[in-house]
Amino acid sequence: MKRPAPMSEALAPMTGRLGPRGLGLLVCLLLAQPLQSCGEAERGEAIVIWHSYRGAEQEALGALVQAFNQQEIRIAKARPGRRPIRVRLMQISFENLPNKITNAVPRGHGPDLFVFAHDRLGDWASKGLVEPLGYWVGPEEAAQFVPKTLRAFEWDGRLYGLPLAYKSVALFYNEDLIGQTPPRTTAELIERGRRFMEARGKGYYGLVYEAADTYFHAPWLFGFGGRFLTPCAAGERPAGTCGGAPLPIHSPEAVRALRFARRLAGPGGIAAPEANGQLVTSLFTSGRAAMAITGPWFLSDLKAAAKKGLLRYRVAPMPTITEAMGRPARPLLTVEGVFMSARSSRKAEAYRVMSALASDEAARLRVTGARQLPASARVDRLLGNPQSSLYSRELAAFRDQLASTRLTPKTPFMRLVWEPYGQALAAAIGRGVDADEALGKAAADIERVLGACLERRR
Amino acid sequence: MARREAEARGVVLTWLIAALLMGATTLGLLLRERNRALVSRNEGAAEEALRRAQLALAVPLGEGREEDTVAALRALRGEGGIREVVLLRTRAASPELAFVRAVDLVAHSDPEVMPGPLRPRAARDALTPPRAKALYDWATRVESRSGRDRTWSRPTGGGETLEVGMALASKGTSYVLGLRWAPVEQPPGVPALGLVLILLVGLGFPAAQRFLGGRWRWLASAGGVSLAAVGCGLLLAGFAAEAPTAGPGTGFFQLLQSGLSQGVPRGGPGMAWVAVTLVCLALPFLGFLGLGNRAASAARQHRIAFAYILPAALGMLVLVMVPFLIGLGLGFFNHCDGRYEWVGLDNFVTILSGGGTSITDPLNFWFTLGVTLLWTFLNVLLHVSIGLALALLLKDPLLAGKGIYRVLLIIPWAVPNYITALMWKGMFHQQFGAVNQVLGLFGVEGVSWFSHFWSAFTANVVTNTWLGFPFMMVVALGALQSIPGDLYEAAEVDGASRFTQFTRITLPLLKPALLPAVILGSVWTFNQFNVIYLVSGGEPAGSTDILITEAYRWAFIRHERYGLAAAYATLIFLILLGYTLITNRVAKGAEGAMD
Repeated sequence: MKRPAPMSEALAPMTGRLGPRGLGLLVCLLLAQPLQSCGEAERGEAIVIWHSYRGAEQEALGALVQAFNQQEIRIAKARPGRRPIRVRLMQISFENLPNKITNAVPRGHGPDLFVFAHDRLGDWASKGLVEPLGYWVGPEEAAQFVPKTLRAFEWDGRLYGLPLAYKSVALFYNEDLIGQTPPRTTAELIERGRRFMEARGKGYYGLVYEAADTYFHAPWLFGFGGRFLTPCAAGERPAGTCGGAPLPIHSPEAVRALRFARRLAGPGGIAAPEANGQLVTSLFTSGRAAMAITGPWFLSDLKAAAKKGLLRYRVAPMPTITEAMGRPARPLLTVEGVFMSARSSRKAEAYRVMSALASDEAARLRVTGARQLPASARVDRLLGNPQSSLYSRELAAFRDQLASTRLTPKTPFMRLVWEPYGQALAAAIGRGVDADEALGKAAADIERVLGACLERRR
Repeated sequence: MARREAEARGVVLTWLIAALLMGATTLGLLLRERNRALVSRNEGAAEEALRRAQLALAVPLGEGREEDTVAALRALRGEGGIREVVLLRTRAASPELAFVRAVDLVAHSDPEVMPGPLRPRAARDALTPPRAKALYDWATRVESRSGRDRTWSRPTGGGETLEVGMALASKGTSYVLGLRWAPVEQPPGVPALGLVLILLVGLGFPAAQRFLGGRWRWLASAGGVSLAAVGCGLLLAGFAAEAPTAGPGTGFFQLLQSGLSQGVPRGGPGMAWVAVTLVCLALPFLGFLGLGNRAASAARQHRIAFAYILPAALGMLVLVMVPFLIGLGLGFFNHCDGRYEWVGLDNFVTILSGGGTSITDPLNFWFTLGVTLLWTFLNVLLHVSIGLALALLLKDPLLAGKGIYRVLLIIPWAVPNYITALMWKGMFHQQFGAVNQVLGLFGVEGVSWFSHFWSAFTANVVTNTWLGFPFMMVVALGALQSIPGDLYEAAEVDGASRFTQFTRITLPLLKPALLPAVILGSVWTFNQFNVIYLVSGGEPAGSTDILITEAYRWAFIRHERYGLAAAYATLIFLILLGYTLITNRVAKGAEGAMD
């Protein structure tokens, strides 16, 4: 029986050709764990940033990082002995980034910094994945930001991120179809929408928005005085200081808000049924919907149509709700910011990169390049000043909206609410189920989903 | 005679091992109790130290005498085990940004670290990172918003000292006091011995069995194993870490060291322990079954063959078996905000009892199971009948352009199924979908496909039928080619009709080829995640979800209930296992009947 050659003999011709360096590389390739360290050593330890920006936003971030790297090299040349910081960007899809952070950081594989929305903060901070920044961010540093956007990054009395840009929905309207002034109240909105529909007939809608999506329903819910979570469950107050059920899903205010949404988007309403993101875009750009409720990301969708002169639109803050005694509709506010990994090995340098990303100059680029709404207080003031070169009518409307927004809760609880709440919306608006019943079911479903976890939270 | 002696020796040995095990367990439990007492004593002492520090500092701080404050801090050093004290006074930047703290005063008990009290800017710059950052973070870890709070931490590394912090807050100013403080007595690291012994005993069983024979061997190993199981159960039951000074262990050796003394944390590492222990316990059983001997002799005989399959086998082990076993194990835990908790069969009970939902509720397991079965049955029925019908049409050797038809009919199979699923979802759109536009020609107005159960279910079935029939067609075509033509000629001579030919010749001869395809197809359809998730997405209200998408929802959408999702996966596995076993038996029976 012929015996197979031993492993070392089989490898001999390969290793002979590769030489010691090649062998080292081979070892690096073979062992997944050292792979990172082998690469890291050659690259001279760049500060790695993960982000999920695309298109113009990605370009703006890329330009910022490039400028930062060049400046570091310039400074290092001028001052010998100072090592320049190198920043490397890595794009990861929006859906995967949070899970990658949750999984990679505890094992030490994550980035030094990452850019994401604030709504996962509670989860990350309580697991100790993100670094508290209180040591670096004193009152002067904090004063650089719009206070509301900075508050998004607070968890349990500590600050965990620097805000870059914020997003909320507002009211888009086609001025050729309903006139130059926006509707200030919902009564006016419904009246104008209805008039438009009556004038045009079938296939035309006064309003289009994703009525069955929890995010887009939030303005009405908050406007009616409802909530998704109690202050404790939302992480606004420390756990244990308020008793009772953590989820005020099935409250009278919520029911009233849902009934109102049904009048708006249900049978006989002015809003297009079964709307999703694409439908909102296509109806509004084609002039088949006079108004739309959506966020600043919509601006880039409209750019092409607006350029051709086919569409003349404006943006305005959400109307006040006549049915809720004139209280303003309050959309959810999501703030994107830069976080530091608790496992970063160069935290002081990583913070320098962070503050460069969150600086006023960076915010300026974010406005001009990516049309983002900046969290920088100074640039924010410029944005609202018609005399400034940064001023833009659309962005200024979103800026006005900021005052009546509500921060998206940062607790893992909130992620639980989206789906069942959306189902309640779909049932009540689309299928005519009573609002009270639909929300009751959503509340029961959420409690069931939480199961044993609920006991602990109470 | 010699055999009798060996048996007796075996019994004695087994009981000896069992006694040793019980002893180790008892020792472990005793040591843990002792350690708990120690921890509570330490807590009391730390509390006392904090109070003393608070008392000593209250007056000078209150009167704003900073030099005296530092003197008091220095005096505290060495008292009652206090090694180091740091005081941080911070003020809120503004009422609405209370979490942004302006450092107002920093003082340290060690003159070398900090010579005197330091005021705002200088304070932050005086302490250089990373130590300053660590101190600052550690001190402000204390909840500064509520009036008074404490925090505990176990230092990483040395393990010589404990850290205790306290915060007092009033009117926007907060005082944070951190003490580095030597504990009364080090917690002993010995009890890990208990666990090690259990492992050794578990490994010792196969060895011990060599001395045993006959039914004694069975009795002895069963007795020993059940004792070991009882011991392990006792240990595992007490594994909740109660000591506030115990950080969650990470490394294997750290875990081993903390062992029973502080309890093995539940979750990841704890589960690794359970797994290792269970494997050790399972070894004697394998030995009992003679698997060890058989495997060893087989390995000796076919050494080269085993060497060849080893890489693949390792790959399978790591990529398939390990996740599978972890999945099985996970079903017995509840995951809640990053913590795992052993709940036994609770997850299964919750699922099988419906968890308080009515049978018509989409969250109810039996409802979902019903939908899944209906979904599988309808799909396989449609796949087979359409596939077979097309195969019969394409079988005709005189058919012109057969190649083109075949390629066209296989295309649905060749396109990745999620792309197809997304296209169909678009086609079922209420306003702009092709389906409704075609229906509109017949006067049917805007069906809202995904707002009613039956229409959404139909949309799913249509999509999956489109995806699934080519496979059945290809299988049937292949099998049809292999049926000898003379059978049909003979049947025609005997005057059999085309229908009789089909039922008497074609179907029976297709059966051996079709049956495995049907089994495979039904298992695929049972777990057809892509179509359900992408087409209906469970709409309306999760009612068109099948078991696998429901499991996905529990794991990734509904509060990361990994345990519940794993229990769902286990149930799916059991259902499919049972189905495969039954159909295999039926298939074998059918083959037997043919012979």
